Parts: sequence; structure tokens; C-alpha cells
Amino acid sequence: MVMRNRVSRRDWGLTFRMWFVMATLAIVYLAFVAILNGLGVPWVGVAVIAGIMLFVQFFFSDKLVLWSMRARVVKPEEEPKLHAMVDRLVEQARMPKPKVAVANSEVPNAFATGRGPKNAVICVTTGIRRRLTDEELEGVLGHELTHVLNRDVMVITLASFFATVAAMLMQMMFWMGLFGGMGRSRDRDNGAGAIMIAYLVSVLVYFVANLLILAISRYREYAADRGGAVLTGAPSKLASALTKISGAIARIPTEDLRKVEGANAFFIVSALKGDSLAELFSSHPPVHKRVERLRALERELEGI
Amino acid sequence: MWPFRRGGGKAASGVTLRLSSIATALPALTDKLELQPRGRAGLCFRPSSPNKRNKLQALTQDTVAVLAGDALSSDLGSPAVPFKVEKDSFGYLWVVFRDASYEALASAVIKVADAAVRQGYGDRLAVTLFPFKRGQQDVFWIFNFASGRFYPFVPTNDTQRDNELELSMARTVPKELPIDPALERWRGLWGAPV
Repeated sequence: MVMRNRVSRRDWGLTFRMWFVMATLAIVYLAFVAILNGLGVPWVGVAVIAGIMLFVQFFFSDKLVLWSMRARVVKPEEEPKLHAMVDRLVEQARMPKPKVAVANSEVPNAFATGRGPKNAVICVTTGIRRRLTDEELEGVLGHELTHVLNRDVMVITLASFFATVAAMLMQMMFWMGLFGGMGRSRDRDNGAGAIMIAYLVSVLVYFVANLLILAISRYREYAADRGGAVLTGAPSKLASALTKISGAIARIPTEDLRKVEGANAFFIVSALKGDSLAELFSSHPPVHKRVERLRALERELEGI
Repeated sequence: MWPFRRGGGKAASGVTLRLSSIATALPALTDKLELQPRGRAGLCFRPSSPNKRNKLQALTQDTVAVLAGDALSSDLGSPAVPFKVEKDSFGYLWVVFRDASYEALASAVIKVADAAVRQGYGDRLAVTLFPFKRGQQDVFWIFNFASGRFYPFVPTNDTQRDNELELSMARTVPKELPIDPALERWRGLWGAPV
């Protein structure tokens, strides 16, 4: 369940949703394994069931992501301008055209999802479209298309899978140690407690593994920035897009006062604040570092 | 979230004072920001109350016109500021004032706003819009009655706005105008009849 290929790291509302969905999935997943094992299902059986769950996750993650972002796949007739932009870029990159989706959100964001270039979806929010110029949006789309080309979603999904497997192995080892070391009579008393501990240990392993995955993901962001900049030939446009959708500008709403009031969402303040844990929990490097690298790339491209 | 602190007939001196700072800020707005005043201001009423318990009827163009006319004519000492009342596509009602002097505009807005508050329509007051030109560009200072603060608004087309210019405008005149520090409240008003 992966969707880290977002262009912005500022939107905590959406980040929270993603983490929530991911964490819920992982917790359900691991609880399920712990219970199966506690019920005495053999490890082979557990592995088969886990495999089926992974398969489902792998093939439906894009739909799950679109659902969690309340995004909708749009046809060329609905969004001719957006589609034309994607058409130009995929031709340039010589890659199959992904599906194009739009999420109705004031938060400026874009992301790519899907297993590989052949079944990818790239999505932009209405908020990012209102804030960016066409060239800037093109830079952002280039960034997302590079994620698709680099199969970043697949890489991170697999990494997440290994994190889950590692957590399962920990659980298994814990159970083996328990049954190997202690007498049968004591197990009966401690059964529920042991399930609980095994579960907590595996959740912990999963959590630590995820921090490592986030670190990998931050490196892939730099790669996508570079790819997007080269694809459009305009690193400065992507840099200005990144600056616009982070920081102060991202906090200024894009919807009309009267429209928002009319929707009964009186004086809504979007939750776009807080950056304290950003470094550790962020799948994206700080924007100023990304902008620096893009500026350097611009100088490099001009030099050639 | 920001309830109206002004009750009944009590004058909102803080809000009034902050609203009238558009007049004192004018030299700074023209010098530092190169804004040309357009000699107009729009006072915007929401069509219905956000408070479900407010039983007063929805405002109509006529009631607003009467309210504004009474508020402005009761003061015989100062010249009357001409105005008209218009309804926009969202159903919001606008009292559009015309006067070369921003002091006169600000005081006219305050008089009508005070009259509205006295008649129980305080929670219908949405914003006051002060339009300017910056070269060819339309630029607005919006006064939000809920926050009692100003914020800039620079529409570039029907849906987009120039956030960079807005932020730099706000940074340029922080002393002259009470600027709303909560950027989340800087909601635009595209195509207002001002």
C-alpha cells in the first residue's frame, strides 16, 4: 500500500490519511497473522494467506490510493489541457501514457501510483492546478512521470513487503522461542499475553523498517526531480512549483470565499501546519534542498 | 469559529478603527506598492445568516438599499457618498460606494456596517473590498469582518491569483494595515461587482 510519490511534503492532512491507511492495513495484516498463528494454523498456511493478501494489495493499491485521496480518473474530453500536457511529456519520455486523475482538494499536491509504467495513474489536485502556471505544472507532471518510469511505486511496495515479512519473521521467531523454551502447561496460561507480545514486537519491526523505506524514498525524490527537470528542460519551473506549493503560498486558499461559505463549511481553516517531525517521517527531502539541486542542474544544462 | 464579538448596538470600536486604517495607509499603498486607488469600496453581505438561530429574514437588495440609505443620510454634517446595491452570482449583496476620498469610503462603510449590526444583521457582514490598480493589474485589499483584518487579493484570471504578489504586498505594509496573519483565511472573491 504505497503512494509516497507525491511532489509535496507539506500537506499533513493527506499525509495523515496515507499513514492512517497504511498503518491500519499493516496492523490488520499483522493481527491477522498473529491470530492465525495463535489458532495453531501451520506456518505454510499463514504464508499462503499472507501471499494472497499481498497479491490483492499489489493489484488494488492504485485503486485504494485513488479512493483514499478521493481522486477521479478523468477522460481527455473532460480535461483536454491536462491530457495534452501528459501526452507531450510521455512522447518525450517514450513511455506509455498513464491514466490521469484529478483529486478535488485545495491542498496543492500531485502523485503517481500503480505497479509499473503500463498501469500507472498520475493524479493532481485542483489546488495545485489553481496555484501553478502551465510550465510549472508540466515540471510537476514530469516529476511524477519519472517516478512511474523509475518504477518507484513498485520498489517501495516491495520494500514495504519485505518490511512486513521481516515483521512476520520476528513474530515467528518469537513463537518458536516460546514453544521451544517453555513447557506446555505454562503456555496455556500465557497464551493471550504471548499473542499480544508477538504482535507488538512485529509492529515495532514494521515501524522501524518503514523509517528505512522513507529514507530510500527521499533519495528517489531527488531522482524524480532530476528526471522531471530534464524531461521538460526547465529545472527552474519545477523549482518554482516546489517553492509555490510549500511554504506560505500553500496556506493561501484557492476557493472563493462565497463558494466555501455557501457549501456550509463556514470559515474552514485547512490544516496545513506543523513540520516538526517532517525530517524523520517525511518521504520527501526538504524543499530548499531540492530547489538547490534543481538550480545546480539548471546551470549544468545551460553549460552544455 | 470566530464568533462575532459585537453584540446589539454596541459600537465595534476595534473593528472600526482597523477598517479605517485603509485611509491612513493610502500614502504607503501608493508610494511603496504603486497602487492607484479606484475611488470605490464594496461592502458585502451574505444572503443568509451562518447562525441557524438567527430568525431575521434573508436580506434583499431593497432592504440593504434602505439600510444603507438611512445610515448615510442620517449624518447631515458630511457629504453623502453615492452608492448602489448589486447582487452577485453567489447571491451575495454588495453596497458599492463611490468617492474619491478613502476616508469618506471607509467612514461610509463603517456607518452602513454599524447600522447593519444595530439592526441585527451583524453576522451577514462578510467583507469590504477596496479595489486598486497596479499598472494594468486589478489588486484588492479585503477587510474580513470575522477576523477584523485586511488581506490582499490579486486575481490573475477567473480562478487563479498571484500569491507571490499578495505575500509581498502584505510584507510591504505590515505597520500601515492590520494584516490577517492566518493565511488560511485569505479567501479570494473573484468577479465582485466593485
